[in-house]
Amino acid sequence: MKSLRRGLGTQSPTSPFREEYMETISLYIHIPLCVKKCAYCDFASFSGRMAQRDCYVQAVCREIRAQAAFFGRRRVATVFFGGGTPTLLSGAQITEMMRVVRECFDVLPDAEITMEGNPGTLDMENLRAYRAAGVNRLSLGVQSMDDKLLAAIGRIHTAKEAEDAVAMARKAGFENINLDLMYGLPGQNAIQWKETLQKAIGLAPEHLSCYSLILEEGTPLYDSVNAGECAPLPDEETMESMDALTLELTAAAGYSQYEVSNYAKPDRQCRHNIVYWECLPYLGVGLGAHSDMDRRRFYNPAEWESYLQMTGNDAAQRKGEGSCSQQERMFERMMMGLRQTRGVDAARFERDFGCTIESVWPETIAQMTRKKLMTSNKERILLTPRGMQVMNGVLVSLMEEAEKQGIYEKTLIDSKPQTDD
Amino acid sequence: MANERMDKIRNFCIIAHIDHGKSTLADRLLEKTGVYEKREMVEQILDSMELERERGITIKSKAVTMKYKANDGETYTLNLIDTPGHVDFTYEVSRALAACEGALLVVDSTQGVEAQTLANVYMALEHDLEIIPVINKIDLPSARPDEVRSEIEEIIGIDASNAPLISAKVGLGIDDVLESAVKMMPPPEGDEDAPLQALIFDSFYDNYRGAICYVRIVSGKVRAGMRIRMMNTGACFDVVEVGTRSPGYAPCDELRAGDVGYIAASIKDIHDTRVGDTITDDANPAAESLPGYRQVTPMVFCGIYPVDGADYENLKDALEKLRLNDASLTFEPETSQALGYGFRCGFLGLLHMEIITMRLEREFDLDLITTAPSVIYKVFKSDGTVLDVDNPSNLPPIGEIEHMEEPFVKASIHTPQEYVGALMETCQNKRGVFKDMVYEGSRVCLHYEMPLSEIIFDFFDQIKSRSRGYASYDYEFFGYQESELVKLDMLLNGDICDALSMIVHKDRAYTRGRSIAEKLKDVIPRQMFEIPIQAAIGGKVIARETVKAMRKDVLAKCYGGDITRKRKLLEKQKEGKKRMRQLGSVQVPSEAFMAVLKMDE
Repeated sequence: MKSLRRGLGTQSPTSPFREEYMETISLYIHIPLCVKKCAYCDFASFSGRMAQRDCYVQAVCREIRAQAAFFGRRRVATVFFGGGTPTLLSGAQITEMMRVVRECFDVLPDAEITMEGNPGTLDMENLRAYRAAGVNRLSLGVQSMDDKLLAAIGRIHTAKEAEDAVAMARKAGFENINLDLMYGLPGQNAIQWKETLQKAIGLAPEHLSCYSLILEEGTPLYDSVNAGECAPLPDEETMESMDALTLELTAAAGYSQYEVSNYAKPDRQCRHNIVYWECLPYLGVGLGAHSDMDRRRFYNPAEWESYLQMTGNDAAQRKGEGSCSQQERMFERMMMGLRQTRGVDAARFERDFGCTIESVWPETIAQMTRKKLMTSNKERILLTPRGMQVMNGVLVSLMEEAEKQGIYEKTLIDSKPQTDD
Repeated sequence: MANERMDKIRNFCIIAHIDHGKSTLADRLLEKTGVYEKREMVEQILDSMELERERGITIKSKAVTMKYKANDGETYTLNLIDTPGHVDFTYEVSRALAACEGALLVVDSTQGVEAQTLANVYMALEHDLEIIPVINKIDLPSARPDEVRSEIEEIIGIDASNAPLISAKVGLGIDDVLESAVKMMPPPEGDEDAPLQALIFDSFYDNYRGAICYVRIVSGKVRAGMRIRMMNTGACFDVVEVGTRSPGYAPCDELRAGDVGYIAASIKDIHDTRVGDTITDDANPAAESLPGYRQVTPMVFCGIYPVDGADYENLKDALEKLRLNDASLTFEPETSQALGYGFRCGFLGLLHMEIITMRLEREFDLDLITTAPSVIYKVFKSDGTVLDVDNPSNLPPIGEIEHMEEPFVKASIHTPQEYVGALMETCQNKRGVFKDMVYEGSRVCLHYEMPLSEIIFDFFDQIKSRSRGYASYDYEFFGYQESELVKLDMLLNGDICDALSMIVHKDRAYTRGRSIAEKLKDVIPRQMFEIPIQAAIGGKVIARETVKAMRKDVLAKCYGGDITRKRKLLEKQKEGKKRMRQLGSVQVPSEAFMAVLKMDE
């Protein structure tokens, strides 16, 4: 994927960026609807709002138009309907949103257009309509192929429904399917995970996401695990075997790991997620969605009422963090890029920031390389498989070195106020 | 020499084992004599420090003057001197006893006589005090007053037939106590026309008046305007005010022989008001000072460091404030590679150390790391010089040491017979040398000579656990003896961690080293790399453990475009690391130091 697609965009009278070359973007559309919230979920999503679906779709369309008016008619390389449960929307509603997207932006002919969905919410008619609207990738939240575990974490579907969902999607014309799986569930053992993985692989998806469960404070699962009301989380040894099983079984089935939790058949990596990991620009619309556009970060309110009340033109209701500092940007490039097995594009880093990775973090890069956690090839700096396992530690070291340098630079300035060069 | 004024004075203290009800009885006496209305009472009213109330212990001595109209129709002045009740403060207790003629001995009717009770009784007998036993807690179902009465007679050898049976908690028998005090205790003696001799039995720092002395006037008089001299330190001051405490300040014209009260003389430094010193009239000095003065010296030392290095100055201020009120606390700056900047502090004993660190943490809101307590070792070097070493890091290289000596104490342990075996084993393990064993009714007193360093290392806990809480102990310092001592170092990732170095007996080094290594392995969190932990004497490794590398530490979750959330999680992790001590390439949480340093064997 090209790092930057540059070209003259359509000029918009309200955009302060009309003089600039405009970047190609990715578009994220958040659908915060669920039949029922899962016990582990801390994302912005609501159950019992089905009656307001139309309202919500209209608000999103309004926002898309307003953002396009502000940022100009960008090229869009990927679209991602995330949730929540986007498959709770009808074919007509998705079609309407895609119509507005195409009306406002240049959706590239080869664009990857993904929809997330819950296996318990699919029907043939809608699937065909999504496909007709241009959706070409389906990401199904299967999580487990064990009905007891599914019930324990509050999922509304069964393993059988997951199997049926994949078959139905194939029939509807989806040639690019991802299955989301979770491991490290309460009471789960390595054998159960192996079975789930084998069954999922047996459904022959093009892509697999295997996330280990992270207990988030404030979720029902967090409370019940801490209160000992449900089975305990698997211990370290079990998690270790689950990790090993994941690598082994995916590789044997022809999937290669390209990110911490993501595995794909050749050329089936998720292009939308790669945009995040490469720190390329994206526009997020919908409740609680985050954007990183033209080096500005902003996000929408995560409360239903406040989002619906956004008039579209009122960009002030978006919460922004303004522009990030160069230092933060450099760090984020590492934080996101190192998640990929191929690592960070060193040349692009130098082009974008005017300095090399080694010059920003000389100590950490040297130390991590010496400790065999990090390595590099001609184009990229990447983590070794062991480095990948302890990535947080590597990232914290990068943070610390940057912080130390910040202090160092400051003291240099303080101690030499009179130097002129 | 007794005169009519002095006939109406009784100076007494209350002695008791911890928890036998000393402070509660004091509360009742104050209430009964109208010093406080019942509604004003809080529990343990004399223990004004939060810590004293909470722990049920008295840390500072205090004196309160009460008026009591006795059954004989006369009104008596009762001076109650509340004393600390712990071995760490033995000297302070002895000075307070020297200020009294009588003592109420409170014995818990459910517990009986304990080691500390005895230690305090012996001390009271040494000062010729009239001891009135008081049997407390008789309201409890498990009370056995008759047994305890005969225990007192057998073990202590004083007549307990008339001992008041009371419950300080519910206020039962308090009149009997007051009547007994008036009837049985002798009034003070002393020549009020002789030159002034006032015994300082405690002092405290008042922010407005400076250091104030609690005194017992042994002879002569003292009044405002008089120039006084501290006979042992030689310092002179002009008296600003004299009076009694009830328990607020009650100034009066003068204090005369037999009286107990306070002297304020704008004394800036509490170190000029040494407990045990004699105050005299600078213009008309007494021929000699009162007996028994000695300068108290710290026996137990440890390093105190702020968890957050930025708190160093706050810690310094706090220690200075505490020293204002505590002449026995010493400290000097010290640096540790592992812990940064802090102070080497000296204490009278373990309880004193614990109290000071707790006060620093609570009253000054500091997070602290304290190193393992140490004693002063005498190091005799080959070149003939002698070094006092209270910090293992200051020990000279082995090659330069000819031999070393460590402080020894005489320990007495009082226990019911069934625990004798277990306790003797404990003492043996603590390098104790058995002296003798004395039967006291159904109980036994064991006498051992032991290294102080062993006493300060979890001895109390062991005595308690091996006797199910029934044994008690007391000790006194008696001198230095040669010992085969070595310096035990702990190495993390090959680097010596100075905060964990200690001086131990050769025979104990292996066990100690191994248990610390094991403990460290448990408390040091797994990190990116494997961390070897070693215990070593000189260059020789005697134990080794390994902290395995962490399995996985990665955000295995998709946060979509919310990059900030990811970064914040890492920032939190980074901040967590800041609370850790960096030792070479190893991060050790402050809690780990504390866990290791507090370790039981």
